[in-house]
Amino acid sequence: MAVDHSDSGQDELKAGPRYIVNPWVSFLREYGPIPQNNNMYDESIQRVTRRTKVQPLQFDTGDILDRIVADLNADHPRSVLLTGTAGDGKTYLCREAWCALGGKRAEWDTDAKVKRLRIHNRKKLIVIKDLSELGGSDYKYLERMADSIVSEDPEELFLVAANDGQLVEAWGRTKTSEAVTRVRQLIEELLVGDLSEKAGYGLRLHNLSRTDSSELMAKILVTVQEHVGWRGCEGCLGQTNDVRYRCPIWENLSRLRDSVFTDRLGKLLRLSDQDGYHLPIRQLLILSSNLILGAPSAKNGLLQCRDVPQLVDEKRTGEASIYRNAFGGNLSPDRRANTEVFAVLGRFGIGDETSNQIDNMLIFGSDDPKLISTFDQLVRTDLLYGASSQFLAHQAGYLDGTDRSEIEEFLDILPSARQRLFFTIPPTDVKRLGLWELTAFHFAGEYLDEVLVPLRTGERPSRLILDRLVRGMNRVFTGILVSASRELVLTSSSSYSQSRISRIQEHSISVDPNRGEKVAFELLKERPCLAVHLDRDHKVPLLLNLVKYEFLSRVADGALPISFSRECYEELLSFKTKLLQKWQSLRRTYGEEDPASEREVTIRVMQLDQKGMLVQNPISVKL
Amino acid sequence: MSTELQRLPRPASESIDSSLWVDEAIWGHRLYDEQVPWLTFLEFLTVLRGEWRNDRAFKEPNGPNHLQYPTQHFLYLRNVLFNNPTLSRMLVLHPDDDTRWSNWISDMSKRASGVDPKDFGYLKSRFSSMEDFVALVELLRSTAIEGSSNKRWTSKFVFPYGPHCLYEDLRLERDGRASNDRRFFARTGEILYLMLCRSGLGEELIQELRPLVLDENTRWNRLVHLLERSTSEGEVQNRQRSAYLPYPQLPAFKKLAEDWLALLRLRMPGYDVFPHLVDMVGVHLVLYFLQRASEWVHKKPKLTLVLEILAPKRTTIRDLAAETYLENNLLSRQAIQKFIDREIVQTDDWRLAKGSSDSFGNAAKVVYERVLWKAVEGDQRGYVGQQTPNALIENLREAVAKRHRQHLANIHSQYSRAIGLASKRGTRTLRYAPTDLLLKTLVFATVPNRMEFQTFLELLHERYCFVVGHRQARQFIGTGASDQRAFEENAKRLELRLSSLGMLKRLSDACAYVQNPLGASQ
Repeated sequence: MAVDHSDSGQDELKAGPRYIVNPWVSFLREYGPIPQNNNMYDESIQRVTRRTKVQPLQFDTGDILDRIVADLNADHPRSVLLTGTAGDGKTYLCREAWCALGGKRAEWDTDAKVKRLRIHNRKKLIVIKDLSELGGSDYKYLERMADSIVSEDPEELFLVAANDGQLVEAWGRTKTSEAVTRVRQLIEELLVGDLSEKAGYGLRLHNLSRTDSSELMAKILVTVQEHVGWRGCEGCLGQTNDVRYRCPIWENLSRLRDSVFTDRLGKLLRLSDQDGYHLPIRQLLILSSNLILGAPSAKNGLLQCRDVPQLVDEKRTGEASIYRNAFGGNLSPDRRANTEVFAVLGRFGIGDETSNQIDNMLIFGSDDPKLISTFDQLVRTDLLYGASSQFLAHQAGYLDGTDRSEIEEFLDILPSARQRLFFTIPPTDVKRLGLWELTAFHFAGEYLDEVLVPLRTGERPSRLILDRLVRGMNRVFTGILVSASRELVLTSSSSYSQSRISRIQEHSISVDPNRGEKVAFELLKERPCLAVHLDRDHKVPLLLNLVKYEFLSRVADGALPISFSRECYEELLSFKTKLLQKWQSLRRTYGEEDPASEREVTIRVMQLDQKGMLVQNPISVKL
Repeated sequence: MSTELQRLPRPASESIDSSLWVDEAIWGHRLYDEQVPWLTFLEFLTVLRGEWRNDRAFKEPNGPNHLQYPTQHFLYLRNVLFNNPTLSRMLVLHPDDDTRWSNWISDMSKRASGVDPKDFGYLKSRFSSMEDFVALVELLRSTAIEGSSNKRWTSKFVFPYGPHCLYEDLRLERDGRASNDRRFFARTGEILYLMLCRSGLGEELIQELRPLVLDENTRWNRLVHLLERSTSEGEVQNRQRSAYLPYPQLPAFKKLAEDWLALLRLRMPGYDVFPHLVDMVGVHLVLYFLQRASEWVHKKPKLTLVLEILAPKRTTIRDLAAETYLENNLLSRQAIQKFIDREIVQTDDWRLAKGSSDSFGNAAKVVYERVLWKAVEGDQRGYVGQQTPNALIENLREAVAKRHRQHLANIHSQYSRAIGLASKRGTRTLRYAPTDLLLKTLVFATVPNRMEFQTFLELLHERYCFVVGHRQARQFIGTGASDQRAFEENAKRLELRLSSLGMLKRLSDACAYVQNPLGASQ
């Protein structure tokens, strides 16, 4: 559909490039958050592939496929169990493994729930691509699998894929034999303990929900950008640089090349991983598709080529802002909440959270001489999604302040402006503008850059950060606004260790190394933690994640422990209890605990003086 | 049917003070609504201490229901802690220790009660400064049980750090004489003690409890003992009547002991385990109370408690939780009437008496023999009303109901509220809605390490008659009182609550594990 602009002198138009319809774009929609039966995702993609002859997205799943094949082909082969949540790519991997081991595609495409194959080392391989499909009599395969796993030289090998919940349930339903009981126990151990194998058992468990979402997303984005399907856009009017005719789909695609954008997105994903919110491949594909095609007025919230001319004509290109799409802003609140990736990214509150500095700039930036240069640099340069004519009009309307509806209209578009800023503030301005105050986690940037990264490269995070965390812990432990950070105080209230206010100091642990005591950042099985060393041989680790880090930092800065996260508060009180337990048992072991022989007792009661400094009032009593 | 349960013979009528013996026949002598679980626990500890000193812990060497134990009074300690409002003022009013001490000692010599001589001078030599003394007293007051209530000061209790902190509830006459008027130590603690005696796990229990509550040498016990005068009278031998627990054996006794052992073996630091032990006392006493009632009321004893995991708005679960609460609350009242039916009205003796010439007189004799109603004792002088068997029964029913209402009828509501099993939170009616502390207690007691969530729900049902999820709620879903979805959401809310308490690990949508953070491998 060509656009008529009889008043403009644009040569391009007179010559007649029009908006093209590219079937690849329609195909890309299939990956997006359109309502469909989740279980059939892979199958429906396959179906559309066959029908339209478009190449589906194919990307490198890392070396998992190689490892699966190696395990099954080895001299001492192991059965393989693939687990994870829906959308982790289990079916995909099973199929790829089947083909890599010599299986025929045609055979795979049949309906059979249990497939058999003879593989290189002459063993029989039994593949179950979805455990939930098994019916009553098929459960005998699980019994056989159990036998295979516990035997030294199994005749049959198994490749099974299942969600972890189904896994546990299915084994619960299998007829009990000694092998089944042992294997059920084994699987539970592996799942809950995050392990992949145990000596003496011929099984390898791959938990696909333990992958690094940000790495995977980076691969997906590259694959999407480089897909041949985009060639179908060549010659389309939308590829012009003139913002009056620019196609939002093409614009979003090119913005994917912006490293600041992909870097920020990667950070959000890595931080979500940290907090235990794993996003499977399917969800990342949904995100990718939504980033490029999202627009609230389109059908199902995703653009098709034929929607573009009208959108552009009505100057509503800004609706397709890639920055808003990142959070599902193009979808209804219900669908957003029910789509995992947007629920997870929504945790950061980007769009709603803000600071005075940022909002001042967004609201008064056009006018105020102090803010103009920042506004120009950060907003005005982006004519499509930043200082679009729509934005500027609403901003003026708001400042004018007379019309109630104009005020509300501006407030309605502020969130997307904030979302855009999150992805575009240049690295050099991150500190000055307080980038992370645009999220619910003000300390997230610091957590990533100054704790996680140093730890992974073998360095130590700064002492200031350690001090802050220790101070936060002390405040939670005692319930008082102490500022002590040289030592970790273990307190109780004489009767209970978990009282909200515990003033009696039982013990204190030096943060600086002192005769085996210390408090330090460490890595525990690849996860960052704060380790409290009670002596040279005994330590108790506190696993860190973003929420806990934020919690402790905020409490150290003065927030009430209950206010940010109830869960963190409880966790830290439990941690204190663990420390006290450990310390008491150590004292017993070393024979230091002999109350009968105590002649004098000193009770250290903690109080704050007028300046807020910790003062200990010892009560000395002769017994 | 309770007649199938073996019951022990009641005590000799001369040793029974009560005007009626119906409540006691069913539930024992006695459960008491004003003795909340913490006070029950404290009374229990005083019994345990006394019996342990006499090498009889958790044993009934003189046969069942012959419990007599020595107690302690520690009135100097109690005067210092709870009858001593002017203490902190001393620090402000006077500049130096000597003046402070002498003023305070003289004040106490006038104010103190129940002790002779009223001389508190012994304290001066035990503290290097009065500030230290005051600080210690204030610390102990802050952890006291019922310390801030408006109960009489002799019904306030120091935290049970050890055997020198255990004393009995007392009433002081004006002349200083002390007696246990059974106001707050009303024997429910003794019932608890007898239940544990008969659990079959006495040995194990004493092994775990001894280092925790019976060790004289713990620091805090010694500190508290500092406040008591060394020459005060030690133990007080009691010639009290024994408590009466009708049942020589019940599975409930063993369950209570098992829960306590599970909690104790977690080796929580300090005295952290106490609130959980107390919660369990509440849970088991409530269940005991309701189950005995159910045995009289229902053909097949059956108990259900639907728990609402707090929801932001009203759901059918809330309605069911309120309904089951209400039904259970009325059970005991029905039970006592059924007791009258089966123990009197439906018996041959009664029929014979009715048909005899002196129908009233003989009927009265039957009544007295069965339930020891003082009103019809001997020549029935205390009886007011028509002198016919039917009127007699009617009046008896009324008397029984009235007496029951005064105390025992309230056990279910009082105890449920005290332990956080029932509340009005978010609504106007009482219903079962467990608090976080109670949920923690349940996980600590029943999950040694890790347990699949659905298994946990099943366990809660099988062990405590709690209904949370749909699999245990078939009776409600079948009748259309609620639907599967509502119960599933209720269970989901429980998952979220446990997760926020750090007691749940989620693997995926279908699979969650309840975890005990203090459990074995953690």
